[in-house]
Amino acid sequence: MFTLNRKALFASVFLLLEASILAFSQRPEELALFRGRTQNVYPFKYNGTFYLESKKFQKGSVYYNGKEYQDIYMNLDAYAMDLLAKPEEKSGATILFREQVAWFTLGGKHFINLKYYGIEKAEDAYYQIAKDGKSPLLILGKKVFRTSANGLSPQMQARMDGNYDATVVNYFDTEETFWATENGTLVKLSAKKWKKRMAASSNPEESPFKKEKTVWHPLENAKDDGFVQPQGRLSASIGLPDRYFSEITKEDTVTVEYVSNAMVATFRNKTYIIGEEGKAKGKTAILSGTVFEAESGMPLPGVIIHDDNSGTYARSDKRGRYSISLPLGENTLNFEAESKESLPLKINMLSAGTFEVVMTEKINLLKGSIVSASSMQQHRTTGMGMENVNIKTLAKIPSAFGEGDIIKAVLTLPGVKTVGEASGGFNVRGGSADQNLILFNDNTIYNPSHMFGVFSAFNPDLVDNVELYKSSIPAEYGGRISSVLSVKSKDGDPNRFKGSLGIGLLTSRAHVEVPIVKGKTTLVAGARTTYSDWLLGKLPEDSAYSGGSAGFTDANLSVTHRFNDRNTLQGFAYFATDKFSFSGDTTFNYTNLNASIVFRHKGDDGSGMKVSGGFDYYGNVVGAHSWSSASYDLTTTIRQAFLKAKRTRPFGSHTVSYGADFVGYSLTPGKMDPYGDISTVKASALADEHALEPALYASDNWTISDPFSVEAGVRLGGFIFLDDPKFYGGPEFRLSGKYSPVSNLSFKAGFNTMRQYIHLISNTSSVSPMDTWKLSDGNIAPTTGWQGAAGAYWTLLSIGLDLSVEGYYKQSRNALDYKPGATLIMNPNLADDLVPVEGKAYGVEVMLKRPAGKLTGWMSYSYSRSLLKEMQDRGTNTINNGDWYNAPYDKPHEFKLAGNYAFTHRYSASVNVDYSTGRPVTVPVGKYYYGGAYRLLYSERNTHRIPDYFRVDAAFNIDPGHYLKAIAHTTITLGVYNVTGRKNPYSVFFRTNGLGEVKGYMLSVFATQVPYINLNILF
Amino acid sequence: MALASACIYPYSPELSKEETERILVVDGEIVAGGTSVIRLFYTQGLQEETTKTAMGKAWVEDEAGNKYYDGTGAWKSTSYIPTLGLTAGNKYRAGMTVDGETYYSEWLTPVSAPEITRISFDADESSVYVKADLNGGESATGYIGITFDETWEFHSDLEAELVIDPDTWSFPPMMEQYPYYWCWKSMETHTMVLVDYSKYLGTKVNGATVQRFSRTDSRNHKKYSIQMRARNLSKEAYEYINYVQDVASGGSNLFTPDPGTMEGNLHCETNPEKKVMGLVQAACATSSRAFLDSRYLKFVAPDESLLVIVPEEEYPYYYNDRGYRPVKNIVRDEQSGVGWGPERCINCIVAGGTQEKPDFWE
Repeated sequence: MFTLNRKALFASVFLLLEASILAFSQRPEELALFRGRTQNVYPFKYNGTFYLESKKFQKGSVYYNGKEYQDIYMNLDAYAMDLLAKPEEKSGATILFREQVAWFTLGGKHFINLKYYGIEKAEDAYYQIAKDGKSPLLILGKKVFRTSANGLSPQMQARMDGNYDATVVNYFDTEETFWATENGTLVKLSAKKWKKRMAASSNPEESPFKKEKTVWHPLENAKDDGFVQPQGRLSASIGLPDRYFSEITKEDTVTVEYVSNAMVATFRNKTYIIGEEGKAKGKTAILSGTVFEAESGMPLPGVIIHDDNSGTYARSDKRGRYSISLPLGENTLNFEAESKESLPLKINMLSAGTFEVVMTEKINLLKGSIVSASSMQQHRTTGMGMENVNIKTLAKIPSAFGEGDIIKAVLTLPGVKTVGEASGGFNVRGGSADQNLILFNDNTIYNPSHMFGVFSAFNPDLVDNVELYKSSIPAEYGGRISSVLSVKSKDGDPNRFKGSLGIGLLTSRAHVEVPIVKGKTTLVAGARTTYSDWLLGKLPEDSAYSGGSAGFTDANLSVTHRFNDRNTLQGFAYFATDKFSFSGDTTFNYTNLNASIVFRHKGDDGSGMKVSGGFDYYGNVVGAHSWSSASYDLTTTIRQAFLKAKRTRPFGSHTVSYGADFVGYSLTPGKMDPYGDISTVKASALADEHALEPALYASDNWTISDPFSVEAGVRLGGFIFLDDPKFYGGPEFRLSGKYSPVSNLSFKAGFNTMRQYIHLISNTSSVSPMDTWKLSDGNIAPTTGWQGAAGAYWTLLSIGLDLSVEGYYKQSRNALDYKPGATLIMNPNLADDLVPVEGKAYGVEVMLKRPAGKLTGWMSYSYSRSLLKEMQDRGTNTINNGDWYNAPYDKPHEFKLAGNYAFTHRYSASVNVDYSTGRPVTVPVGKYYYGGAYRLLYSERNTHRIPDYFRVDAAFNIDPGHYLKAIAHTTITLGVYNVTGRKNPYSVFFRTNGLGEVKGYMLSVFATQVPYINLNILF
Repeated sequence: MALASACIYPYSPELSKEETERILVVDGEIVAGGTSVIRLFYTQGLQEETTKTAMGKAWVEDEAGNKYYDGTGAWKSTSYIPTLGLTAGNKYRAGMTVDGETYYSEWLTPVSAPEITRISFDADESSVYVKADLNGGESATGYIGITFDETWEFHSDLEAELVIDPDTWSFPPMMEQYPYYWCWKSMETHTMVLVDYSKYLGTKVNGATVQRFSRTDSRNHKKYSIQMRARNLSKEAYEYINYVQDVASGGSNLFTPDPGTMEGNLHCETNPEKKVMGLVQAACATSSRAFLDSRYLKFVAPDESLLVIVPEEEYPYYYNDRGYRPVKNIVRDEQSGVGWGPERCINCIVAGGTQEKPDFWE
């Protein structure tokens, strides 16, 4: 039994701190196997690299940063005692951080880092294992500089020796010393004694460096070792907490106090004892805590925690907190996360307790396959149809003008469509744009785009996490029947100041993260604006838009205060405004304004609670400012206030969530006011609308066994229209289940029912700035719907690919469509111009994803249909004679590809391919004479299609370089949007001339290649 | 940048020939105290050049069942029905029989006519604007529809100084101006100009632009006259006509509503499932006339490049076969002789005018 020695720890700390200084300026990716310090070129050759045997790199194995790597070109600098590694024989070498090296094999010899194993008196060096056994015999071979006979120092010798470079190696001797380990300490042996022991027999089974298997023995290829921590609780920390050297008592709950950018833990080899003997109730106990990211100290959401023996599983929430029920006794708990090194930890559960974990950036292997955490996560959750947009990959997805765009990234996912480019909304699995609940933190965003769809409303630098629920929508969400897009903002780095600056062709943005009180209070602020008017000014005078203007601004502000590791309070505010005009006298102006306060509490028993309240505002103003008697402003607004409370509690294999929502609405559907002194427009307004939408919900996620789990939830929601009292409401059910016969194969099914009480009123295919929102009332019933879905998910472990096939079927009732010629603005009898429709949508989505490696990305194909049918019989005026007709966003075939290839860690190329069937349109099929001219006779609604859509985008990305102490890092992206220059049609229209001839025209928004360059500075 | 790269280009969808069924289209107006007009058409293929009219018998009837017909009783595509006895405030509807089916409009109530308080003219650098000041009156609905006809005195493009005797091919002296230089021309517009004042205070509209033409247009040559007819439109009639004229005629704005066929106010009585399109509206109309002199004329020099110097021996050919007439003696390059031009450029009658002075001409 070996005990942890404080002196050894102190030395380790010193080394860790030394490495910390080196790592301080490094970006996370520089901590990878081949991104350590580059092999130095010293001014004086004598201080160069002197290999133990020869300068030729050989293939070997190494156990580094908790993982074994094979067939790596390596060599040992026996002077600096550095292990060098390179990906290819002819490439440059990098120095592996000694603190992360456990052992390696080179030239048939086995070397071990005794410091890694906490051996007393060990030097910070690599010892060769000459003979394993109960008391292993070791050789420490070093290169030492031979003092010259004339007593000259190495510097002087270098100056005097004219051919020093070629012969410098001759000035070094190999010095060998012999050692043995006994009782956890290192003992120096004389050469004679050492040789005698070498000759004696040995028993490898009793090696002190293994418990079950020898971790460093390549033939056995073992992965763990057997140090036992006899007392106290320790974090598998990359840095050591302040009180680390204090007496560790059983009452200690050690929290990670972040040591900036320190290296990965060496304590994964330990067994951590949680709780106290005799205090457990039952056969299981709850282990809870928070997972942090090594490089930033920020909480890590989405980390999968699973115990293979008991089959229990948990996932860290958006605040990095987790809670898992483990059997008493010894467990091996695996922590896995996207782009993080997997962390297997031995836990000895005595009773409930907390355990903080820090994970480091994953080493970017150039060989072998990596199964990412997100891949395995798919097999651990019952939910389906949930997509997580990785913010780091966001920047690599080419988009118009090179601006990282949340919505554009979401559009690369299967099942998510848009009616065309520069289209403000998106459609999920056959639902209309208003059937998506878009949340920014807990606030509702009614218009998620800027500049009529060219940019999304979310500044990517301020976004931490994006999730899209296409089906299996959690019971806590309601009010929309198609999907939930949940965007979470960054909480900010609590320990250091950082930020970014982005400059693009059309927009610029900046953000800062400021630790107001280090470790406690963080402020995040960011803003973005455009300068696109100068481009519009360059348009030819005969262009329809030459007199136009377009611009937007958005800003975020959040303050997060951590009272302690259990309680946080966050205030958040978001503001966005758009203003554009196509001609001089009509302007469109819309504004989002959101604010909220959120309190989070983490309980001892692994429970969690969140209470939030806030306010959302969306306003839209159309200004006709011709400075005549006809000038006016037309305003529509939505104001809502909300209060939400949620609690989550684990009960054995159950995780129960329950809570309540309350939303109050106040809508101004239309208000017209005169503009200017000479305007004779009379002020008028539609009656304001007020409503309440309360809801209660509860759900239970039950892991029946490792293969089987189910989640069942119910949401009891209501809606009260206050102005002309009308009540709607009812239960909504959320069911899903999973069966995983093996760990990398899952089958899932789900069923949802949903209700929607607020509707976007539009008679255009695309969301337009003149669209208004309407609450359900006595004349407009809520939209209801249900969706059934099933899918199979397979992770091909050997090649690191995720394959998924999902099918779905949806139905809806009382969605709203419009009559031809409907007046949707300032219409007091709006319901007369609307028609209720029922909808059905179905489809199959196949997706292949490669989450890790040099080539990453995904490819998907979907076949889907979305159809509508008028629910009432209006005789010959019934839309399409009462038959099913294509929804405006019905695109049966869709193929998408988003890929990124990393040539090196700095340079990568991205490509985006998007193909879809042309969207439905209504075209003239005849003409007739009326009112003194020919008029167009249109087909039934949406019976024709515009040409198919096909677009390829490409970009080349240059990421930050290897500058160890650089204060700022620059990313440059050069790309081309619409590489093929295809004139993808956005809409078609027809006109008649005086002779009655009908001419058709097609509008293409991006009708040519659009090159761009984007500069981002991170500091 | 998006707008800079945007592009509009031709598009011809593939359409099935079966897609165009023949549907009756009715364009009607019941004019209380005037002459009602009901026009019947069929929908037709996009490429058909000839306007497809429908033959039928149309009438106006009141709630008492009295029917008013076009006096001739013949089957027509356009029926002019005297309805002098109809009055505002009562209900009327239009009926028609076409192809054995009987169609009716909704019951409609004409409201009293608006007042055209003033017709004025204005011009900018390039155009002349004809404007009207209107007053919806007691029965103001917020919407006014204006149709108009125009008459103007104009001259030919080229003023002939010579007249040829086609018998002798000689040029007798011309003591006065070429006799066919000045004519009158008339044009009636059925396209209704819509004025929406529903969002304005009061019932008056000032300066509504009714017509616009270029300052070089022949309307400016000497004297121009416009007679406007205005009627108060119901909201439904306004919306229908506006939709048909605007949205259904094609738009290219990113936010243009999706087009379709708007529901009219007609139905087939004998076969409820038979489609019928169009709108019949009911109104009392008022009219007003105004004159404009040539103050806004922008002179454009005659295009003498049209003139061809014709040798004497070719006079018959140019006169008889090519329809040319002599204009004047010209010298061009190293040639001189009598310049001839197309008769339509010289003879205002051939250009579509008449030399019969309108009765109302001042």
